Amino acid sequence: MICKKEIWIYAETESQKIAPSYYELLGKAHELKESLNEAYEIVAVILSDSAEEVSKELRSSAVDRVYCLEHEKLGNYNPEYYAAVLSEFAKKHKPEMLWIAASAIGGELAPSVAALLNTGLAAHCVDILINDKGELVHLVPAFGGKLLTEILVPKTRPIMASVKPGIFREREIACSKEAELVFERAEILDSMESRFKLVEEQEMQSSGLPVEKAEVVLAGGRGIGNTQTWEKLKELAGRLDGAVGYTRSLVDIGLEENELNMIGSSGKSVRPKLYMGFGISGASHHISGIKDSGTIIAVNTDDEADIFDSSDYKIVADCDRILSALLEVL
Amino acid sequence: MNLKIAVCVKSVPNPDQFSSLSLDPVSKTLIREGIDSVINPADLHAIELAVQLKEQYGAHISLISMGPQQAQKELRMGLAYGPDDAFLVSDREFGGADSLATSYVLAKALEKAGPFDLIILGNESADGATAHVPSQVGIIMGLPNMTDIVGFSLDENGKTRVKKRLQGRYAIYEAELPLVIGVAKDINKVRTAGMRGVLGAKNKPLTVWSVENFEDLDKTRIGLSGSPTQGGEYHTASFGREATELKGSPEEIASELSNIIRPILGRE
Amino acid sequence: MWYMNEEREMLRKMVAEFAENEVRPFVKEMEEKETFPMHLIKRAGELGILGLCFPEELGGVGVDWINLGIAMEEISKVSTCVGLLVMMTAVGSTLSLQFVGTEEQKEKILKPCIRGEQVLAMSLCEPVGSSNTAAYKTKAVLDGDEWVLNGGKIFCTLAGQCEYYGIMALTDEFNPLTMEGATMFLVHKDTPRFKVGHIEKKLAWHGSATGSIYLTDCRVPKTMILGEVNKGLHAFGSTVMQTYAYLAILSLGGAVGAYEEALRYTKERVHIGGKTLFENFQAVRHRLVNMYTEIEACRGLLYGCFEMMQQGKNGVKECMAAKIYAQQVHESVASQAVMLHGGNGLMVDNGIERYFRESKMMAVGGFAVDIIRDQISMLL
Repeated sequence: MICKKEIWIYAETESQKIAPSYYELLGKAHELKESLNEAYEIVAVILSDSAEEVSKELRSSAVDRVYCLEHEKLGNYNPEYYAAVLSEFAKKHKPEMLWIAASAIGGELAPSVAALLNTGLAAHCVDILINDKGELVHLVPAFGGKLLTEILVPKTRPIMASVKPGIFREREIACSKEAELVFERAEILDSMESRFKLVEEQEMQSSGLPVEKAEVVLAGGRGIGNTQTWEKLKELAGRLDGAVGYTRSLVDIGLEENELNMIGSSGKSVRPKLYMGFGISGASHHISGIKDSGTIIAVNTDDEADIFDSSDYKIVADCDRILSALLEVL
Repeated sequence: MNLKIAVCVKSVPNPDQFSSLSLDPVSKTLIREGIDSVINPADLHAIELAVQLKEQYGAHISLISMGPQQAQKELRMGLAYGPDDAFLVSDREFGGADSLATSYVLAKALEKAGPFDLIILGNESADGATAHVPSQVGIIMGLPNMTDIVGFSLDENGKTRVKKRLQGRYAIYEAELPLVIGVAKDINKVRTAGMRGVLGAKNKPLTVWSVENFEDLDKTRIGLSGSPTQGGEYHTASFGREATELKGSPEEIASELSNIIRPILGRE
Repeated sequence: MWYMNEEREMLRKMVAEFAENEVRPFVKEMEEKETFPMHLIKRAGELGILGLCFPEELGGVGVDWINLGIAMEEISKVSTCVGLLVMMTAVGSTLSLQFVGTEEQKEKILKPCIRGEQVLAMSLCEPVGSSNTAAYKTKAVLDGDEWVLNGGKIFCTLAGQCEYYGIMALTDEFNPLTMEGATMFLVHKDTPRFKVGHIEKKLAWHGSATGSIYLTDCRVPKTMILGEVNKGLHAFGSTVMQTYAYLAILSLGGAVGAYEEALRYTKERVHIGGKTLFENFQAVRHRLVNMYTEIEACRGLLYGCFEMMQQGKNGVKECMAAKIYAQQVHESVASQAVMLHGGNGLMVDNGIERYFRESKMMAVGGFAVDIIRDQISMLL
């Protein structure tokens, strides 16, 4: 019997719901499938203590099969249990590819499984495709994103890849039929005791972060204009666990007193995952302070503002109205 | 308590100079001239944790690194912060290693220099940034391991508590030594090494091991031939950003922004 | 540079880190509010920077004059004011204590200074005669086991912020040939009727209090004399080279700081045609080259002096010359740095004008350059 090769997508759940990263990986899998020479099956894999509900959602997500690996010990995330189960299962069913979203959990699960399977893992891929030479390559950032490398996994199987959430876009895929649902008990855990015991979970507190250490920075400039708008920005920053930065102009108009979190060549440099600039024109000294940020979103009433040349997302609008609208949604 | 602690460090090109890196247009190889090498920034936080534990409980700290001969300079710098000795594992045959092959060699070096009660690594390196090595070293050594650690504590009985960052929350686990942890930069603030440390670093033992120094190294697992992932061509990523314009009413824009922002923050 | 090696590069990096992370944040406040962050002295002590020229028995990290020079340069790059105050504790007043101080003085004053817990200021200037010792009005008379001091000093650095003050007073008629007649007294701040007077506003170095001190029948135990009676000036005899060289390094550091700022500014500021100032104007490039050359010439002279100290060679003339030259270079480089910044060079917020103001201080502070010229001429 000839079995088709399989692309496994690890379906991560957060409080009984499928994480959006699953759909992002799924979209890429379908895209890749079209450029592959052989026929492939796309398979969703989920680890859970009770996968009834979510497996229903997975069945109709345009995959060929859903594997539900169940065990009581798979309730809360435990690195040893999760890695052991997923790797055992992969050894048994031998997928061609195994993709895991590089979330907080996936970022640890993927390399652990790769080590247990002695296989290659391309980390934090920004793309997975067939190149001009017909090879399956993974595009991976290096040196802080300055360069991209092609990573191949020529010999070992499964070919593993991790992808940060939000890198691939979700896409609409027509789903003609429900997938086959296969439940398996992760027996390996019966005789396994983890060396880690979960003792406590803590919510993340948002604090007055110093701007250069924050992963999220919201910054305001002259266009903020008044105290109320500035307060809205600070409130939004709080909701996103972010730090508040500003330009010199904001200090000039009196909304901030000191230069503690001023961003620019004479102030601080920031490298957050997310930077949002409100009412900032984008003079070069400020840009030099933010140029290594992950995603840059700028809001300004001036269509020609310089900041838009260095932004990923451009919004020509009044800051106050955008901030109000964002506070409704986030 | 006199713990034996190992900190794995990596010599990397100075991240502050990444924007000066360029590709040779013909050979497509990296031009690294004029770029200094430094200790991987996350590893400094690992060293800081080790030194704090030494001050609190008493410990012997060893630095372990796999790299070229020049990485001795970074190890000397690491010694200035307080560790007691350093081991550099360096050999042409280790070259071209991916994270798995690197983890294998580090694991063998840790076995040889050990056994250790605690092995601390920086969560990820500034250049490769795979964040694989802490987990893979742990798996290969058969030790409990955990990454993205933002808090660590120890009691007199050798029981540890590790605080791991998850999505929107932290999880605190109890575990016994020996243990492998990958620490995040926000676990602590790196001290400035004092002059005493700097001037004393040259007197601390720094041992260099090559392939011959190992009795039972599986050569199929080291270097380029031991790397299941292979690197292909480099491409330059363009810096000037192409802005996608979001249009519509403030409410529509806010909704689109929300979909863009949530994944970046790791939120639902 | 010829004196650099791997260890010195590590040392330089660590002090530069201290200067960037801990000194720089306070510079603005120091200038505006005229307060000195004394904790920086404590930190310099903790980090062992103050111990770079003292042996381990005294709490130092071992003597290496080049290492100390490198550390002082890094701190002065960020602030010559902080550099001066660290330097005073590292080498200015404390060094003579090591060579001519008594055991009691070393325990009470030197060791705490090396740890950064105390500061000792040297006060020599007087209203009439300034450096002219013969004309000193501050006098001391022996009474039993104590000396009674009367008089006053002006321009005392760190007035009001020290634990001890080194006061030079006449104890006999001053003999300009033998240089005898003045005695150095170590006066504790709590001595009754010892008063710190008016604190002056200065051109620069706002973080360092410069003021007058007054002594009225102040009693100082005879154990608190540095060196021998009437031989106060001789107490500095073994530390002459250091005194000048480490004042010079402050100027060199300041010049390097101003130069690096100007280089960064001209290479980053986008000007006409999307190119930087550096790319557009040959005059800018040439000016920067001149600044670089002056700095390196000074560096050669000054670090040569440190190496001579290291080898135990006599280099008093060279050190004095270095002090004069370094101030010159500092002034020249800082002045050009202001111009290279254009209008921004005049704006206080940008920080470059501070380098300019600071560069003039060493022309007079420490020892005035023309007085030094006279002293060198006597040795030629």
